[in-house]
Formats: sequence, structure tokens, C-alpha cells
Amino acid sequence: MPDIFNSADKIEVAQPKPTVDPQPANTFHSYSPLIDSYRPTANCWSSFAPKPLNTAFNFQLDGEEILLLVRQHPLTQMRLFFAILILIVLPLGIFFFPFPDFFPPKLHILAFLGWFLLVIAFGLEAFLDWFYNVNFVTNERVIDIDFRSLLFRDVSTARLDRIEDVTTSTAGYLGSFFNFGNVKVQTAGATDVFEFYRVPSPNKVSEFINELINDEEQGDRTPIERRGG
Amino acid sequence: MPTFLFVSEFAQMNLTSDQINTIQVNDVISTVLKWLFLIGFILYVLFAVLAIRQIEIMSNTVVTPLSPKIRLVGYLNLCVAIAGLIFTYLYLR
Repeated sequence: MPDIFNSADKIEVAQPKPTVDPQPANTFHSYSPLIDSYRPTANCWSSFAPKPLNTAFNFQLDGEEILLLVRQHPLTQMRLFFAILILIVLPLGIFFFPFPDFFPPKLHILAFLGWFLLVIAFGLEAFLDWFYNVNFVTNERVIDIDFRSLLFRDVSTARLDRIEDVTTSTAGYLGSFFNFGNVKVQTAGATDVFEFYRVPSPNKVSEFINELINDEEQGDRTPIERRGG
Repeated sequence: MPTFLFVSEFAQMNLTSDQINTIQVNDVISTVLKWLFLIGFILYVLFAVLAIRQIEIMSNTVVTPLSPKIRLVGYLNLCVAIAGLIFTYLYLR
């Protein structure tokens, strides 16, 4: 099969340790003026983090620099946040709807304890799901990391020179008002599309990727080779 | 409690057969609920162990400055789960 159809690689599980140390300080190379205009981000909570410091992923190549990290806009998690708040205060409803008669009074305290443990579990999973489902744009590739369940991850990557089209869309009132939306990256393969869901400033993300693609197209060599890496 | 003592206690209470049945049914429900709680807390400990493994996989895949703190949260969750299980066992014994 021609190489062109293998543009996005699917990788399942495998747990090698990171081969590259996290970017420790302001040691990023120079790229185009647009990319250079972004200052490195030390805030690891940020959903739009250009040049994130002390961040890496375990299949990072030598000389590969993370230039942008995006994850879902925090406002997209508001529904879960309010759900957790409601679950926390829900046991107060016991004043209006007492336990049924057959439920032994001795077990009431265990029911509350179990309830709050379930809320903690729900909150922890929601947080992990938001925090670790990230998209990276590096000087070599665009990477989409999805953790689908407790123990399975799905990693899609596309090299910059295989990307054909980057489109953005904002959906809904919240997205329009707070400027978040989807970024769709179309690669050379027939069905290879991956999407950054509900990320902040989708236009900036798109600009960022397009700028890197232009930078890549300026020469046949990869950015690492151009820098002499 | 031996059955004959259990029955004689009911006899002394001058309860009707319907009342005795209700008390026995409640006793069965109570026992079943106790076991369900114990099993629930054991399952939560298993979940907490899995969550630690999940955090390990996630932290090894995406390395951030926050990873050690998130690992700590995972271990705290396991401690709470084990404490909850021990409390449940002692409380229901």
C-alpha cells in the first residue's frame, strides 16, 4: 500500500517510560514569528498551553519539542462539576425522604459513607478524563491522546507533512460566547481525520498548526534537521 | 442466637404470627444489606487499586509537573477506601 495511506498511526497501550526529559526551562528553538510570539506556559492546569514547560509524553522523539498542549475548555466540564455538587448535597434530601422502614438504622451511616465514596470516585474519574485527554502539537507531529476507559488508551499521530487540511468549528451558544470549539485535522489518508474536541481558541490552534505546516513546507528537511538536531 | 431461644423470645412477647414474620423478614433484609455493604466496600477498594494503575498509565504517557500530586491523590483514595472497608467490617461485626 502506498505510504500516503499510512499517515495517522494508531497505537494501543504499551508502556515505555518517557525517552525525552520534560522541557525544563525556556529552551525552545526559534520558529516562525507567530509561534515565537507565544511565551512558554508554566501553568499545567491551562487548557491552551503554548510551549508547556516540564511536560513530555512517553513516545516523544529526540529533538521533538511540544509547542502546544490543548485539552477541553474548563467550561465544558461545568455540567460534571454541577452534577458532583448536586451529588454532594443530595444526602440532605434524607430530611424530606427518610430511609424506608426495612432499612436498619445501624446502616444509615454506612449508606452515607458509601455515597460519598462513590461521589469521590466519580469526581476523580471526571478529573482524570479531563486532565489527561490532551492534544499535542509538536514541531514534528500532531498527537491526540485519548484514555477510553480505566486501563486503555488510544493514541493517534499525524506528521505535519501529511496534514492536508485543518478546519475549525464552534458549536453552541457557550462555544461562541467563550470561544471554544472543535479543530478537525485531515491527513493524507482517505479516512484519517482526528478532532480536538471543544478546545479553547480553535482559530489560534488552527493558525498554529498551519504555521508549522508552512514552516515544514519551506524545506524538504524536517524542522529537527533544519535546526541541525 | 439458637432457634429455640429466638422462638421463645417471640413467645414471651405475645406477638401474632404476622408480627413474627415481619420481624424475621426484617432480620433477613438487614443481613443481606450488611453483606451488600461489605461487598460494596470491597469493590471500592478494587476500584481504588485500578485507579492507581490508571493514574500510573496516564502519568507515564503524559508527563506533567502535576503528575506526582495526582499519584498522591490516587494513593489517598486507596487509603480512604481501605479505612472505609475496615470501618464497615468492625461496625457490622
